[in-house]
Amino acid sequence: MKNLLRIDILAISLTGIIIAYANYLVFMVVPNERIMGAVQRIFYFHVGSAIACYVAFGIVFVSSLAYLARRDRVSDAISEAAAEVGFVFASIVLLSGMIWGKVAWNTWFNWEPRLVSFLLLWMIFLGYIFLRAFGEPSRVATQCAIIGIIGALMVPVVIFSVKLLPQVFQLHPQVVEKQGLREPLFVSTMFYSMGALTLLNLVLIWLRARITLTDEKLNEETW
Amino acid sequence: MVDTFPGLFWGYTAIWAILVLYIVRLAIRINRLEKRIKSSEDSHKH
Repeated sequence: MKNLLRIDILAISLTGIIIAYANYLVFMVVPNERIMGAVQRIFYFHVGSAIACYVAFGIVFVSSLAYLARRDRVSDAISEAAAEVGFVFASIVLLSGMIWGKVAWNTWFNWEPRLVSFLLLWMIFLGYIFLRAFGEPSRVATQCAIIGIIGALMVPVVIFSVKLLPQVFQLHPQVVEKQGLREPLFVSTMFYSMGALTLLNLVLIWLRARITLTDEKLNEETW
Repeated sequence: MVDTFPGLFWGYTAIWAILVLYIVRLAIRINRLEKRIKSSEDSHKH
């Protein structure tokens, strides 16, 4: 048990250090983007959160498949934790994207492939969370595993949706795909913020899954 | 002119620090709970 606490503190400390450095880069080092100015800094939170949510939904996919194959509590707990944390990061992506869109292009939302597919992804996992909360206990794990797999399969659709229409018809920029980030400082800041948020995502999933398993063990002890 | 935002930097630093400390507290509580469950399981075995 002591070793597990040491691992937890080490993982959280590493995450904290990378978050602190990424925070410093975003607000104190990286220059304003030439066209969008200061508001472009939302990009580092927006893209970092998107990568974190894709990783979380990838974990949902693998753990849901593992649950359907083995029907074990650990796979189900990991799937539940990853879906919850992934949903939080997906909400941050939507909110930060809307704020950025309003300030930069005077539009809260646009009905184009990338934004609509991401909204669908968010809604699928909103449904997952409601099912977990209100579904029939004997069947909820299997049902959520199936929805989790379907939801996770939306991730490649979201990623490649930006290629469905030419850039001129889309609000969502294709910065990374078209290698628009040429300034090395922008690129390194992007990677640090992606790393920071992905590590935070993994730490939260790890702790959240243990809360579920500990809760179940406590309930078994009580009964 | 250097583009820095010290107000936002310190504001976000405070927010991230609170979040990280909360996660540390959560980890300590989970470990304490797991330790209690394990010692309870061990005492049932004996």
